[in-house]
Amino acid sequence: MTPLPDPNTPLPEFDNPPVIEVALSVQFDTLANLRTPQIGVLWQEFRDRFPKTEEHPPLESAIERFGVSPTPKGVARFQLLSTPPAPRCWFLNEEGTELVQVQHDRFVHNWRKVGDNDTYPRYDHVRATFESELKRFSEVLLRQELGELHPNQCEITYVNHIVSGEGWTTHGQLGDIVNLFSLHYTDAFHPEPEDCRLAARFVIPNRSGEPVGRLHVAIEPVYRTSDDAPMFALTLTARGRPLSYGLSGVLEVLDLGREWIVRTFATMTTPKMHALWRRKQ
Amino acid sequence: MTTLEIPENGVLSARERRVRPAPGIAQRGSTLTGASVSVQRMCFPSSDGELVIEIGGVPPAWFEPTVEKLGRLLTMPPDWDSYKARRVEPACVVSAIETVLAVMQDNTPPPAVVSTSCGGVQLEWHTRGIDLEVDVCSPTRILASYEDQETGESWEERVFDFSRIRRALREMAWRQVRVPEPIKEDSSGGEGPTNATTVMETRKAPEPIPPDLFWQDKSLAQLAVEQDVAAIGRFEEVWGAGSHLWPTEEEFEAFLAASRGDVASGN
Repeated sequence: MTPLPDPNTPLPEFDNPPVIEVALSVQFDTLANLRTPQIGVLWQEFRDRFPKTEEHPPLESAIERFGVSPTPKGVARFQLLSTPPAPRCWFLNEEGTELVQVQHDRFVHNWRKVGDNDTYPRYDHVRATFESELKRFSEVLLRQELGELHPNQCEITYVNHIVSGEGWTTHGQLGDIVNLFSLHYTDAFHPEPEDCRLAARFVIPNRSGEPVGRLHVAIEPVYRTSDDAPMFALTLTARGRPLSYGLSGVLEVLDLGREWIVRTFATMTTPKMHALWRRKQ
Repeated sequence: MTTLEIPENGVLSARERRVRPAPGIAQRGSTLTGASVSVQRMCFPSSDGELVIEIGGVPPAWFEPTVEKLGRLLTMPPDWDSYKARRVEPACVVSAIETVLAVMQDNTPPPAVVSTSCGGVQLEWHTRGIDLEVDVCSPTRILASYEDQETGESWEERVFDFSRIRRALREMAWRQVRVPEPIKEDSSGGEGPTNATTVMETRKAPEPIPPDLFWQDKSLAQLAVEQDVAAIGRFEEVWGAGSHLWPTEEEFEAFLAASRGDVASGN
């Protein structure tokens, strides 16, 4: 059983975190009538803040299940033949730093860092924006008689880019960044690895200890396209079911997921990196 | 060059984040351990799409009949019960298949499959004193009820954690081995489902094991099904069986000693 974090301990904070993207997402029971023309009508409601649009393939449904076989014997899917898949539409702001994604079973709000001077507006701001947009989305659905929102899974993702040159230089030095990886060989033969990657999952319980979600952590070696600088992309995604009915249940599980992400990020990374990111508490 | 192995979950792509991935781990094409196994694919067309199921390796005995019954639900028209029943939702069929793949073991008895009037799917087991019903109302709304006539245990719940269902199925499989049930040609008149329309459940003649698969590890129950015999779960039931095959007690003792390796080890 994963130990419960002490909710009374204040959340770690950093003055200069390496976060470059945050996405808050809610998955709901499919609204079969929410197709391209209806999403166009919906865009009119968001157009003042998000004047640009793009179309993308839909995201697959994702549901965290517990107590099932860790190695399911197979997979099943239903492919529609007569109708093309309903698209995922992006509504972007002028700067491209914020966007809303809509598809027939998903509503997502993203913040991302575009320029060097863009700073993370902090969770409270992203959450408040997501909340008001989701309310507006829900109202339009009812007004347009497209159906009622029944959330079934919620998701919060933080993407961090940890650039070389500050605390580490090559992809073999993952141990300088995360505590879960230690480069202490038993025998003296090997040099530093060329690169390393790491993945971990944690079950997120509610206050009664029942599993309600899962935190997925992945750290991958990547290169910045502009100058080939080595970087690590550290992605933390917490996904789980709403903790109660309605919008409050959605926000509750997102808050819980965010708490797990922030605490995991802080506890997994090294004090050396904390100094560079200016940890406050 | 491999792709960045971050799940597509609504965050922006690697291209949009202006990064490219480092080369991935070595390919394992030349090794046997961890190599991909053959995948069996089953397709069930319906009026507006196709249900596709893929299973790796050797499917358990329950797989084909169960999946066939679930696949056939998609061909049922609306109002199939003449009481304005909804058409079975493909998403519920997919979820029911994912559920059986995730909770059933190789030796689990196959469930009866029932469509519900609200477009869902119900999986039912009524065997060896255990009644277990799993109602897939939607992919994220799954209800279950359990009653064990032997122990008196019963529960009903909305399923978020499948552990209790897996435990119930394990117990059912164990009882099946302990006291095998007589094979029925058609279970629809016996301990079958209790409501709505039932897809006919018949047990097929066991198929011969392909020669290249004879070495696979199989459970006792699975071997019994394949060989169309009743499995014996208790040692007492075989104690002394076949003793007449040795003409004398001494020859039988010699056989036992050889089996134990006494001769080879000199003990």
